[in-house]
Amino acid sequence: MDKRLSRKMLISLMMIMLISVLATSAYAASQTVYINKGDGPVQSASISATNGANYNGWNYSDSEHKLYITLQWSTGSGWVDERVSLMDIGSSASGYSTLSGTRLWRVQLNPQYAYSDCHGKGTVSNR
Amino acid sequence: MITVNNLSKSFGRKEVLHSVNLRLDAKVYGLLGANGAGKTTLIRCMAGLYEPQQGEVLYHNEPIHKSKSFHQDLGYLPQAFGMFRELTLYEMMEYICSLKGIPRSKCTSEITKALTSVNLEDKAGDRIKTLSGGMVRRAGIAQAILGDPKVILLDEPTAGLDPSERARFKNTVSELKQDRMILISTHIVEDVDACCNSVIVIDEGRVLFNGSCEELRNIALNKVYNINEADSDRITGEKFILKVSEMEGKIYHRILAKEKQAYESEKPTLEDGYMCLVKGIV
Amino acid sequence: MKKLYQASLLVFLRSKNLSMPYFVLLALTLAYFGFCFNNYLQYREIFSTLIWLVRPCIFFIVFFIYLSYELTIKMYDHNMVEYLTTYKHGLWKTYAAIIVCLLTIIALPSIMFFVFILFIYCYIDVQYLPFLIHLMKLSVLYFGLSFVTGIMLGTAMAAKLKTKRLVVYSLTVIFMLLNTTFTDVPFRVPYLLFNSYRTERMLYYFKDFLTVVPHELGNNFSVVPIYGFPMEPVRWILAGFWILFPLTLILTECFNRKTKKALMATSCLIVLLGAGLFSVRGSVLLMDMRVDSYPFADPFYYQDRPREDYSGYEAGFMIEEYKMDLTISNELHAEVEVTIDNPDLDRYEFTLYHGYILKSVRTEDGELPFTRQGDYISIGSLNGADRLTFKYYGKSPKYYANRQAIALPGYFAYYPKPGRMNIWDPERYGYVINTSPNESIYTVHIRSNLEVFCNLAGSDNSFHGKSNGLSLLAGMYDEVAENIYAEPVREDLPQRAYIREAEEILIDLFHRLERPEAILHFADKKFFQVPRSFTLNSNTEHVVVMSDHITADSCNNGPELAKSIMESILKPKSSIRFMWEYLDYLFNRQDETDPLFQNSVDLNILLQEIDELQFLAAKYSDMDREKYLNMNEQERKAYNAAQNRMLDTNVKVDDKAAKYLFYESPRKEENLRIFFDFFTSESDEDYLELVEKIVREELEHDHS
Repeated sequence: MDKRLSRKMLISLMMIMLISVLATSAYAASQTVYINKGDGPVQSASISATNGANYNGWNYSDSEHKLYITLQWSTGSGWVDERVSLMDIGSSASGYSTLSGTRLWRVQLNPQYAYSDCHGKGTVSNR
Repeated sequence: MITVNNLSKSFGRKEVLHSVNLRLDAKVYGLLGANGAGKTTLIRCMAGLYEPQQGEVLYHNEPIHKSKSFHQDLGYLPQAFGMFRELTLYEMMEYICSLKGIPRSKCTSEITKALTSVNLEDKAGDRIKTLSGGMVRRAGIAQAILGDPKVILLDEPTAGLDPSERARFKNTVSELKQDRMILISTHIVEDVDACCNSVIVIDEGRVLFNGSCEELRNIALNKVYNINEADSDRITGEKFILKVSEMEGKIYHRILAKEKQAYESEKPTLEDGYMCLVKGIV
Repeated sequence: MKKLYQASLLVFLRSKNLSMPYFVLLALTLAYFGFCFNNYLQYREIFSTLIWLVRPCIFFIVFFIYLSYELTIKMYDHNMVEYLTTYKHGLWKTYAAIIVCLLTIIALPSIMFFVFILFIYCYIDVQYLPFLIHLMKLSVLYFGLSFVTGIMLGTAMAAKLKTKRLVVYSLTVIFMLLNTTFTDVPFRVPYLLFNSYRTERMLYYFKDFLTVVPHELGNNFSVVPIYGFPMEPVRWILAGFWILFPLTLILTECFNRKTKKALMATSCLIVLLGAGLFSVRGSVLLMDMRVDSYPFADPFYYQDRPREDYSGYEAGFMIEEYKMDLTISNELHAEVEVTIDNPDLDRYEFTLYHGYILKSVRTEDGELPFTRQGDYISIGSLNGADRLTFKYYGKSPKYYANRQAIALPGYFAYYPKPGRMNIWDPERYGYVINTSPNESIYTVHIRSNLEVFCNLAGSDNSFHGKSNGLSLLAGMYDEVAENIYAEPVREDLPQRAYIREAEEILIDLFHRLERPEAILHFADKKFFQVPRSFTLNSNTEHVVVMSDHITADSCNNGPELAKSIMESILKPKSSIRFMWEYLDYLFNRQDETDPLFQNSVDLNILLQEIDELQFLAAKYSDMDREKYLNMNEQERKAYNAAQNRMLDTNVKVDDKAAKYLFYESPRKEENLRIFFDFFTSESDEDYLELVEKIVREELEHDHS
């Protein structure tokens, strides 16, 4: 009985943790995602913003190819590309969207030509 | 009615028909030939399905592809026949009536007539998929005779029919043969014997014989011998063992011999005549 | 014929492998409409909802290929063709009955889509006729003709490939994949192998030819209201092609001899005509990852070429007057006469975007020789003539001009501009705003099927007036309020009150910055809300203030517009991030919930970090790709670590410096002014040096 109770508690705790992690990630002011060699396209966790979002990206010098950074917002069951930049090796990109309304935002890093030899970083933050 | 002039047809390098010449009138013709002899190719050329490399097929002295009435007057049963399995036999017959341009007012009577001819009137409401292979074959014959065509080309119509259905088929042909040209392609000699006035024998794309059944039988006159197995070696000249049979514990050979033998010859059948032609025992 | 049709329909309805999935599909479609409607209720973005509606279109087409193939192939499966051919037009009648039956089958989902779209239109209550027409066309092209294409392809494959199901379904899968973004990866392979874009272009040409649903599955780009869904004439031609071509293939099966030959010839003619018309499609909207696409064509083009900086370039002449005769059909065809103020130069340079092919340059005395180098046109002496006529045609992947929409902003060199100007700024990642400081007189006549909206006065697509840039917009675009032009379907329509508020905010701000000379008066200027996609691949086009009009991608409220206008005035120099921070503080928009606001900035640590940053920046100042590749493993590791450190430190320094200088500092107003001057000057000074100088001064001031 005790065992069952503790299992239930454990599950509840995990659920609470999961929900809080999700909620914190959605309501965090910024989110960062890293792309390492061997990775295909990667996306950051999403943030919630009402006045659009800023994004910054870096394609490090040890990348072998250019890197796309895309600022996306959620349509509920899909993502729309709001801003796209192509970052040369060793360069950065930044931009913002003024799209209003409460939305979830994220950044995606996507190596050019479907390579997986890029090293970089992308950040999405509230405006 | 139908004239085949110097018809040749090849598939790639293989010549299937070699300068075939035929004149077919309002009679029942049996087209006899071994498998691969060119029967189906000939019949398809006559139906306008194949375009020959050389020669032409005329209907009432007009090339069939130019004839306005040929398609209207043609009933054709292909070697492989099928229908929409999802429709009932009657619906399928209506479908064919529509395709054949049979006026709607006549459809019901035409369908009833055709189905009665092939003894399928009680299956009219059944879905095609519930019919047996023989029934579908008979439905194919019904399809060919629908609309009272003047030219009926039947490619292996009795294939897959049981003996009673074959007998029924013979009756159907008998009922239809008035003022019509019917060409029945088969390799079953008995069917020709039972239904046809004339026989066309085709072998390796060439017409070997075109005449009456009697004439074909007569080819084997004094050439058929039914002799004891032991005496078989005594047959002189060119010969062909047609059949081996056992009677009262003894084995008999039915032999076709080119030369006159010392034995008493048998009364030839159509098959004997056909085999003499095919085996060159003439 | 009616009997044949009824029988075909019966065959379909009684074939469980066909009718059951069909009815399931209808039920799923209804459920999907519910999902789409819910999506609209949640986000109130009509085009986003419509994208959801279009997204599964390719599955419908594939399903209809399956239905039509499996229905037609029954003829072959059941050996019916041979005897049907012997009836007069028997096979053709059978095919016709099947096609009519299939048309009935697709009519139901097509009508459902049509009704749903109509319902959505009524529900959103936008009452804008061009949008309604667009929706009707969308229904016909995407949910009507594309479905017809599906059945024609399925039927044609049955007619031509007979019972070779493996081939049929393999082709169907290929067709489906070509109508999705799946091709983004394999289509890159030719570039990897041959280092050339030519093969990629050819592959996309082939793909476009097979694209029956232009907004393909997997495409994340949004649809802008001015343009709507791509429905250029070429899309209709393609739809016609994919219906007629399979039809001729089907007919070749039904007829013999001469007719067959004639049909084969017709089918070849249709292919040639289709391919021919397709190859002259001109300006079309390409929203995908290819090198010629809207978002990437120019970044690719300019990134891979050596760049010369033409800021501060003096042309030596001005254009006093433009007389433009523009024909906008499948692309822009232009005849532009310019009157220049200085006819005595030995050499004249003009900028015209490289996508426009210059046919001739003439004066009254005849044609002049010219050289074209990318975006630049060089012409020798004019022999005293002061009028030049440029004849050109072409397109830009981003600033489209075709029968569906026109988006040509005045700051873009779609007509010859005096001197050499950069089109693209790789540092800011955006298009350079090329507006002349001087106004010219424009007389413009436009031949187009669209009603064109222009910053100049005029009507019936003829305009005249004075400006420093000619902006042309058309499509689902209208005057939504007096002198305010926008896409009426957008939710965030601009209002004159917002523009006035923005002007007031900026006037106050310039007074606060003690820079009244910088005050801009724009509240009464014509306002053009440009498509939001203008900023999809560009950081510079949020707001552009020209002499007589403004273009902006959005205008949600006064403060936001004021901030964007201020940003358009500033030059970000080396740190765009720091400039944004500056703007946030300038407009009092800082996020005080940020952990940075829990403590005050430690200036000594800030200075240490600036030092470290400057040290690392100096150490690797001459670093380039070649040098990096020549490094050994250890050096690379050290460099990578230093780079990471630099990036992190830079962000920290920007945040802290901005917070201190513009929020905590007792001299924050002065700092705001100093940095306003810094961001509006032509100085090449590093912002960090300025930050460091001010911080040190303040520290010394505190100590004293």
